[in-house]
Amino acid sequence: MRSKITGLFLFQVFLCLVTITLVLIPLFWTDIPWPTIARDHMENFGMAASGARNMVSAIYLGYRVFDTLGETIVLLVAVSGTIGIIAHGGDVLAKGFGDPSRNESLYQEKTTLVKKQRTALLEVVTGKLGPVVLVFGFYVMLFGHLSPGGGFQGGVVVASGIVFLALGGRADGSTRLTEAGVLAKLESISFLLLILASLSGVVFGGGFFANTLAQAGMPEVGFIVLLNAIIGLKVGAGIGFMCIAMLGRAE
Amino acid sequence: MLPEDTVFALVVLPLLGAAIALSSKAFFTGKRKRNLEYLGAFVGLVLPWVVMIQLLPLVLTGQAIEGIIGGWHESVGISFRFDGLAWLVNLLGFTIAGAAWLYSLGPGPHGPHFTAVFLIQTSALAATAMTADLFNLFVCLEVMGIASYILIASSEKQGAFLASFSYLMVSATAMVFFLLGIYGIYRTTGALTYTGIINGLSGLPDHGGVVTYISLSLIVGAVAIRVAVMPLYGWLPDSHALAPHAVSSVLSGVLIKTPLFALSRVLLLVPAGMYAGQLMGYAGAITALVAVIIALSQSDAKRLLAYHTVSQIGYVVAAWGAALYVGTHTLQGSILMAGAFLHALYHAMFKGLLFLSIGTTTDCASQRNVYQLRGAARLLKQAGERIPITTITFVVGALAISAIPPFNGFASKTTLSYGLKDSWQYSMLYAAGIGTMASFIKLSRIYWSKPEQQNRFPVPVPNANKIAQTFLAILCLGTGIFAGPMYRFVVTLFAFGAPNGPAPVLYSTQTLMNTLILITGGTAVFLLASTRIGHNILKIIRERPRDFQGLFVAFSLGVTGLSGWLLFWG
Amino acid sequence: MVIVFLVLLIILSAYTLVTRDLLYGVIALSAISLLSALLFYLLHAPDVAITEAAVGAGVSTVIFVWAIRATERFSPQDRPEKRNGSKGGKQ
Repeated sequence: MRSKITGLFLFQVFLCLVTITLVLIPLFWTDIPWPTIARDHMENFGMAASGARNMVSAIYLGYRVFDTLGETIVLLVAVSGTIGIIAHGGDVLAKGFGDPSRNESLYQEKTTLVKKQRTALLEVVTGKLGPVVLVFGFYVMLFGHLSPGGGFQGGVVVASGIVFLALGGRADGSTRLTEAGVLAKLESISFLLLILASLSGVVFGGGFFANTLAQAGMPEVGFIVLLNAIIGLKVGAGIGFMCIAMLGRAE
Repeated sequence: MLPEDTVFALVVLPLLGAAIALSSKAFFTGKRKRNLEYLGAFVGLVLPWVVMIQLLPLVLTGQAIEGIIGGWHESVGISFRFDGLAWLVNLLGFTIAGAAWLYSLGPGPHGPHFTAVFLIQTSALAATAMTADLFNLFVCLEVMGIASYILIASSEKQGAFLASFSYLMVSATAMVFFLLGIYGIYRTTGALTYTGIINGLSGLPDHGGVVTYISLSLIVGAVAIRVAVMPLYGWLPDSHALAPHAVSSVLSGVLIKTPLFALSRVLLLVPAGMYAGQLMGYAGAITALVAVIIALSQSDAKRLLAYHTVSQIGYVVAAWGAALYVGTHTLQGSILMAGAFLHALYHAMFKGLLFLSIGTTTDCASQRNVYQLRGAARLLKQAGERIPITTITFVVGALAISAIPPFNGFASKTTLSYGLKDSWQYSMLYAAGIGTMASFIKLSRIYWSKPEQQNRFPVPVPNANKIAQTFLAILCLGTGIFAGPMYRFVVTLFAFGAPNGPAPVLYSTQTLMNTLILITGGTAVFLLASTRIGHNILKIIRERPRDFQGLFVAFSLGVTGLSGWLLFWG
Repeated sequence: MVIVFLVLLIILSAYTLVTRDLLYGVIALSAISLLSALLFYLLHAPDVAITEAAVGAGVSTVIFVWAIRATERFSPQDRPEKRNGSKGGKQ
């Protein structure tokens, strides 16, 4: 094992675990009955108010859509930051860790030494599976109000599909979906669309994040489908962009 | 447009600006990209002021704008509450963010991605101030946190990544415990909105008993890490010292205090909250003194300022905790809470000003060590400042933080001390004031005498820096001179329902005597610290070992201690 | 069944913390995500299960593997004597 594990370290770990367990046990072993307010309300009024059969979608895209906006922003910032750090390259990485023994040449030598280890098996399989995964991703995204799924889930599957396409040797230009520029544009457009969707309620009366499509006469669930599509595009483009950038750097 | 909607403009306008800035990077290049980025910053940092001015008459009358976002049912939806407290926190956030963004146009990281993340951080501040729902508070704190990790990591200094990563790890762990606290409260009450929690708790025997105390202590503990009270401050000096200068000023000025004021909404409503506030108040007073001693020993200029942030936050937390304990509906409580907010606001101004001035100075001289840098005033003159603006703004900031009249630090510290009269916290804060004076005399030595190496070529000072620094300096002086009206303004906006009493008197013989004792005490401590023995003691303090697991041990012990305290007193 | 998975989760987490080879640690993390997704499904939460499987066992593992590929494979404090030698066995 490591030489850094001393008696003091083990004692500190032990102390932390014991005190936290002491604090958390009464939290989980209590006799107070489980609350049913939200459950009863969702059972009786949930589907009528939001129009979706999947109650989870109704909650995070209807009742609590502001939290979803927050989480989408967290993903956007994480992707943006990662791209920024990767783009700076090896010298910033070395300086950023404050360790003078990791000099720039280490990073450069690594990237030139790594040979393309892809075999034909990997390229053929991922190249053929890529479009299938993309279709599945779009299905999960758009049917989120009826079956388990939704914007985030579908978006991540779409991002995996984009990675498959990139790995599958289609960098010869047969698809534009694996270019970094296209993905960046998609991501910023969908973020703008999300903000505009939240503001549409303000402009057309009804308040912030109100269901404008319902006011225009469409079924209520239309707003949930729209939000699913926008979030799915955003998440897919964002994560895909980050993966393409890392793929380019690690090669 | 209804007032409910204009309230959300404060959150959405910065997000819209961030979206514009991001699109500028993706679609355009060159001059059009830069113009679009500036348009995004304008939408995000200037247009919200229009909304703030429009909302001011409404909050001055003591009314609050409340509701559920999206108009859903109150048992499941997110509720928000925009009152005087939210208006004041937004004022703090937008002022400092505007000045800092202007400063960032100079050297240091800038560009569309930086602007976008900066605007997202600003919008998260606005959202934290007006949320009335526990889970939404969690999400807003997360957004604020992740924006600040990225901004710290964008600095090109040595060690910035490690500092940002350690802040990330500490904060993420704290948020896990915050989430466990939310679980506990939801388990017992079935609601996440503040009004729902109060109704649920009053329906339970003994207000929920042990489970509520434990959940409350988990939530307060997690916020205490974010606010950096002793002994949970370990992540702060690295992150604030190694961040870009503009980001340091926003971090020290705004991000440290917003979780505190958002938490005060919860604690004001829950019955056991006053005891939690009491313990935090004690921790704050101890923080103020201990952090100043560590600050006195530092050799890196920005790290010294970061430790001073911890100390000044100790002041704010001490007053805030005492205010919660005596109750804000009493006269003393309202004085204390107004004093805490005023000190938070003024601290943001003068600490922001200090970070920006020291940033410009250390960049110009390419040297950050206060024991080695000398003659910075002359270097700045060589770099092209005909009027020594940076030196003057540094002096304004140093006088403000040491509580010398007529600057704003004097007003807020006197108000705090008035509220905390005759208690042991008052003596701790007074001693911390002496220490602050001493360490700023030490810091100001970098400006005197001649520069050591004559062949060092000073980096020229850009105009954006000068404008931002001057703006903050004028604010420091202005709010200090108009301290009385500021105090009355803050008390009216808070609308506690306290009896109308006289405002604390600022310029009496007592306070001026105290200031004189402060100045002499500070000079004495500084001279003591410059002796041989003082130097050695400070060296031992500076090089004490710090590590990660100590922070977690402190956190677990702190949470256990707080639950025990609440069980004992509740 | 749930208990078995939970115990496996704890064992895998301990392994991730203790192992010196970072790649093995990342594969263990991926296994943890997979087990969590199964757990969520068993506890009647299919949306969360899909998200956990896609993010944890999919994208997150891939990103970690690329990050290891760009830096070092072994935890550095264990090899003070091999600092400028060959960097362990990768691929």
